[in-house]
Amino acid sequence: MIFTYDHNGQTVTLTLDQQPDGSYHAVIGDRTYTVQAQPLNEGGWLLALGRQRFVVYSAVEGNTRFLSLEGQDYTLTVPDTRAARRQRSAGGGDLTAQMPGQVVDVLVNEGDTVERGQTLVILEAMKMEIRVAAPAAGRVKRLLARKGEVVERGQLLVEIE
Amino acid sequence: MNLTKCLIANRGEIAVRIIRACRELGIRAVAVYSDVDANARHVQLADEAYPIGAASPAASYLNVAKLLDVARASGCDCVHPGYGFLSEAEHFAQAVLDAGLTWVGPGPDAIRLMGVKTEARALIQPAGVPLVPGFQADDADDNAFVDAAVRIGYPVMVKAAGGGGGKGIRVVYDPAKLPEALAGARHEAQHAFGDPRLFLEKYIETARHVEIQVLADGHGHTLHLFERECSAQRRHQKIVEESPSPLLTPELRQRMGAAAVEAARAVGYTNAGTVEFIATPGGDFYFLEMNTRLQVEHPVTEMVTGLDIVKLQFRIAAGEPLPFAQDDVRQRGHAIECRIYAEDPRNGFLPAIGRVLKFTPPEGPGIRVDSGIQSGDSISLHYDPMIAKVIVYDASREAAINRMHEALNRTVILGTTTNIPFLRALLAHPTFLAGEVDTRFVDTHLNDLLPDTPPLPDAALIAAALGDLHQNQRVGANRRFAPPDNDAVSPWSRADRFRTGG
Repeated sequence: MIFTYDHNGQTVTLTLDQQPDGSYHAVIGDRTYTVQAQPLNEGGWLLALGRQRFVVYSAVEGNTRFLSLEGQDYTLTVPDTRAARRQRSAGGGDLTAQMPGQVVDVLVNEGDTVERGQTLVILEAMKMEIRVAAPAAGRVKRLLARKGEVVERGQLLVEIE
Repeated sequence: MNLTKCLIANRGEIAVRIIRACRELGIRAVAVYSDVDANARHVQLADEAYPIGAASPAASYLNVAKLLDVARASGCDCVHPGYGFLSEAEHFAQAVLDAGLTWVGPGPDAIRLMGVKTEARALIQPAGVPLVPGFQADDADDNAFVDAAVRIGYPVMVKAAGGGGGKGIRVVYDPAKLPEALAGARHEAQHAFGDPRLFLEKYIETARHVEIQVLADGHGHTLHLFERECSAQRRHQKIVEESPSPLLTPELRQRMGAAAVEAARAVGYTNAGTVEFIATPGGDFYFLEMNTRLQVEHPVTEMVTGLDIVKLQFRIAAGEPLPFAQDDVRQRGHAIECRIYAEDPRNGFLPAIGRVLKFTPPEGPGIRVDSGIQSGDSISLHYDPMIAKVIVYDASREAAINRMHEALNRTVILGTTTNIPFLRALLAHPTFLAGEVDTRFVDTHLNDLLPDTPPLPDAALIAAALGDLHQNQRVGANRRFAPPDNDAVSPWSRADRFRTGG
C-alpha cells in the first residue's frame, strides 16, 4: 500500500506491505527495508530494521499522526481525504475565541491569502497570549476581530474561505 | 500532628505534591476543582473533592468564599494554598484564620510586608541585608535624581514606586538621557498606577538570580536550606533551576544564607519562604524580594538536602518546632529541575493548547517527576501550561546534566508542542555547561537555543504507516469479524471518537 503524509510542508511517501511471514516490506525513495514490527502496549511500535532497533511511540488525532523517537517528536498529517475534510469542518472552532479575552493583535487583512498554521489573531487572557491559527490554507473572507477589543468565548474572529 | 484534614486550594502538579505530603502525614486531603478539572489527577488522588465553579480562576480557584465554604462543610482544620492563585493573598490567609482554621504558610502580616517592594526594603535594611544601591524620596525633583544617579553610578534603572509589572521602567546608560527617561516613566507610572512617584536603582547588567530557601517555626528558630540558582529565565520566567549554584563559593553561600535568615526574621516570618537575591560574578549580592509561599522549584532543594519541605510546612503550621538545627542541614550532590511547558519556542513561546494524547514520564535512578496531568488531559487556556517538572539528582553537576539529557530523551509527550528540544539545547550550550548563564542569557541567545527541525527518520515514517495499515485493515474487514478496538495489533491510541467509515 502507498502512504502519503505531509511533514513540515513537504510530502513524504512510502510503500508498505505485509509479507506472508509477518514481516513488512517498506520502500522509501531508493531505500528498501525488511521490517520486523511488534506493537507496544502503550501505543507505538518496536521496529527492527536489519540490526537496528527503534522504539517509536505514536498517537493519532483526526488526520494528525504524532510520533516520538529517541526523544524527538515528529508530526505528520494525512493529506485531505473526504473523511479528513469532514473531521476538520466538524472541528472548525479554531477561528472562534476559545475563552474570553482581549485582542492584542490582528496579523492579517481581509482578502489576504493565508497558509495552514499561520497565526491570524493574538488574544490575551490570564496574562497568557493565545494565538489563533488558520486551520487550512485559504483567503481571509471576513475579519471580525479588532485590536484592543474584548471578545467573548465562542465569538467568531476570522472567516476563512 | 494535630492537623487532621486539609483543604488544598490549588490544582495541577502542586496540588498533587501537597496531597502526597498529606497522605504520608495521615492528614486527609480535600481537593477542589473547576468545571474543566473534574477528572484531573489531583481530584483522583484526593480523599474528597468538591466542585467550586467555572474554569475561569476568578470563579473558582480565586473564589475565597467558595473555598472557605468547602473547608467548613467538609470539616477541614487547615488550608494549604500551594503557589500562584491565592498563595500570596493576605486577605485569604486572614480569612482562613478568621474562620478558625490553620493556614499552612506565613502569617498575613509577613505576606503584606514583603508584598510592597519599597516597604520590604525599608524593613530589612536595618537588619543588614544588602539592597541594590538606590535612591528614593517622595518630593524629589529631577535634579535630585540626577545627583543620585551620579552617586549610584550608571547604568541606572528608573522604576515606578506605585506598582510593578514592567510598567514605568527605564534603563539609562547615558546621563544626558536621564531627564527624558524620568519624564517618560513618570507619565507611564501616573497612567498605569495613578501614582507618579519614581525611584532609582543601580542597573546590574550581568546578574544572576540566586535564591535561598528558608524555614522558620513558631518557636523562634529560623534557618536556611541553601540556595537555588534560577538564572536561566525567559522573559523573567524561570525554566531551569539547580542547586548548588555554580556561582557561589562556600564563603558567599554562608553570607547569603545568613542574610536570608535575617530578612525573614525582620518581618517575623514563619513557615517556608524564599529570599531572592541578584548576585554578581564579583561576589556582590543584593536583596530582590521574598516569596512568601512554597516555590515551583522547591524539589531541587529537597533533593540536595534530603528534606521534605511540604511535610515540614505542615509540621510548622501544627506548632511543632523544627526537628533539626542549621548545622544539621547538609547540601549533598547536585540537583537540576527542568520545567516542561506546552508551548512553542519557535512561535514566541506562545502556549500550545490542545490535548496531551500520551504522556509517559521518564523514570530511573535519581529521576523525579512532579506532574498534574495524565494522558488524555487537555492543556487549558485558563491555567499555566506547565506539563511537568523533571528533576534529577546525581553526585556532580556534570553527572546531573547528563542524567537530565537522558530523562528528557525518555519523556514522551504526544499531541502538543513542548519546549523539550529547547531545554536540551540550553543544557548543551557551552555557557550553561560552564555554569555562567545569567538572567539575560536565554533572551539574548534565543537563536542558538532553537534547534533546527530534524529530518524525518525512516523508522518514524514506517511506524506511522504501520498504524494506518492496520487501521485500514480493521475498517475494511467485515464489522462482525473485526477485532475489538483494544486489539493489540492496533497501536494507535485513538483519543478521539472519530472512526473512519464507522
